[in-house]
Amino acid sequence: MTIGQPIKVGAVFGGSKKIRPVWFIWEDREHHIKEITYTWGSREGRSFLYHFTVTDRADNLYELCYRTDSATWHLLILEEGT
Amino acid sequence: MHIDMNAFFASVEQQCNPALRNKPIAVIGSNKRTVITTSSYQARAFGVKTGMTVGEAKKCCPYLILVTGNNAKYTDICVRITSIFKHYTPLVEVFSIDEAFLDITGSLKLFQSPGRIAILIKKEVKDKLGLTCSIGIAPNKLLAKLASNLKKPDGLVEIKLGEIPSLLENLPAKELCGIGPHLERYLAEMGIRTCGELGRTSVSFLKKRFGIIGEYLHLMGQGVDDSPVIPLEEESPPKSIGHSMTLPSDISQRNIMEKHLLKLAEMVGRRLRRHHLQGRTVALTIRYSDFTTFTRQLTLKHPIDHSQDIYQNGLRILSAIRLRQAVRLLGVNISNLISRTVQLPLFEEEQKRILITRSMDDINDRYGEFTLTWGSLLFPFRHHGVISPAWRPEGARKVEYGS
Repeated sequence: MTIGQPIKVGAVFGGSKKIRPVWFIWEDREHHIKEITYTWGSREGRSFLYHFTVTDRADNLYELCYRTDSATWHLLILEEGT
Repeated sequence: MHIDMNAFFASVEQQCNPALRNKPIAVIGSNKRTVITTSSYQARAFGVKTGMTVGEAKKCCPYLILVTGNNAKYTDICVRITSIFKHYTPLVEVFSIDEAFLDITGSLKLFQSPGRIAILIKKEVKDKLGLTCSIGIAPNKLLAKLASNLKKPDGLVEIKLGEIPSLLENLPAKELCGIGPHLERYLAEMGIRTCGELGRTSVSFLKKRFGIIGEYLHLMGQGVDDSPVIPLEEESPPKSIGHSMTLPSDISQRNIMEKHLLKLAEMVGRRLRRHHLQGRTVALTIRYSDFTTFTRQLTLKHPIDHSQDIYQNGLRILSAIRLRQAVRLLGVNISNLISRTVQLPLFEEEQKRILITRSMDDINDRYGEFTLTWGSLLFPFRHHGVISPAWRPEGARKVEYGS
């Protein structure tokens, strides 16, 4: 798998935080999200992109992105925890 | 009230990545040749400053962690911060990406005191975004900005009317917003170093030396400023629209320069058309590798907004310049702006051009900038760039940055 490709994400839609990713699959492993550290939005044409920086139990940091035009999730950044 | 977000970009990155919290970090640009955009307070303690090269910063702080900035992130957060400010007053003037002025005069009945408003704003920004800010409260914008600068980070300073003379008496004049290093030097040559001295210097003397701004300098020295807080909706329209870029490496070959020029012309053209503007003056800015910078411009008979017209006129200017060195930075700017006049094209060639431009704009609006572009721009281009001080959350001054 390469960074930027669509990935499978389990998320909760609705509630006070409109979209909340809960787990995702990367390199055939399920990663449970320990903390959503930050969220922000950006635009690409008419598509709105929701960005989430999240950590997993190993304190690795990931940036997940949900694109509204294609309703797909992507992993944009991976930083291994020390 | 003046609100200044503390080490804004660096603080945002520390919130995003827990591993960076309480560590010396510096945010840099995405270009190969970049400088420090901002640094965390932990890095500033080592002397790391905005504008330093990476090499200089690392010398100050060998353990400095470099983080590539993300302008899309910062501009989105600025929009969210501005909407928090609007919970307390509709009169919000976005001064820069990380500063704003608020006129809270009309909000005092609802919120009881300026101090209470400041505390509520600080709490809301901290709770929702994890960021701290320094707030200055004063009778006018000049003093409010001075006040917010007095305590950083996470400060709250109020300057009351009666405190102004004693505060300004020995305060260095350079602490006032609008007095930069050059003006500071000129004033010092005249024996004026403090605000008190500036405020006591006669208006006629200052006007003789500095022209019309002499009167403003005199008033500034006394802490007088009657400029209003101007919310976004009341800002005057931009006088020009432009883009510039530091090239990945210094370039001497004109054909490569022309590609970058076409990119810039397309970016400027897109913004003009999006906001239904046209302009008659095309300006080209060139910075050499030794940082010598100059601008050449030409004013056309008829206003333009088509990217190819901007490009062709940029080329005209470029071809008339004998380049003495390799070029480090290029900029294109259109001024003498008017609202676009709609004129039905007479000739088929012109009709085709307009239809093609409209179609390209529609596709790029739908799928993102440079989804469809000129054949000679072979590689995809996203505007990462630097956030201009003129950037605003809405309107013609808003630029969408790539993530």
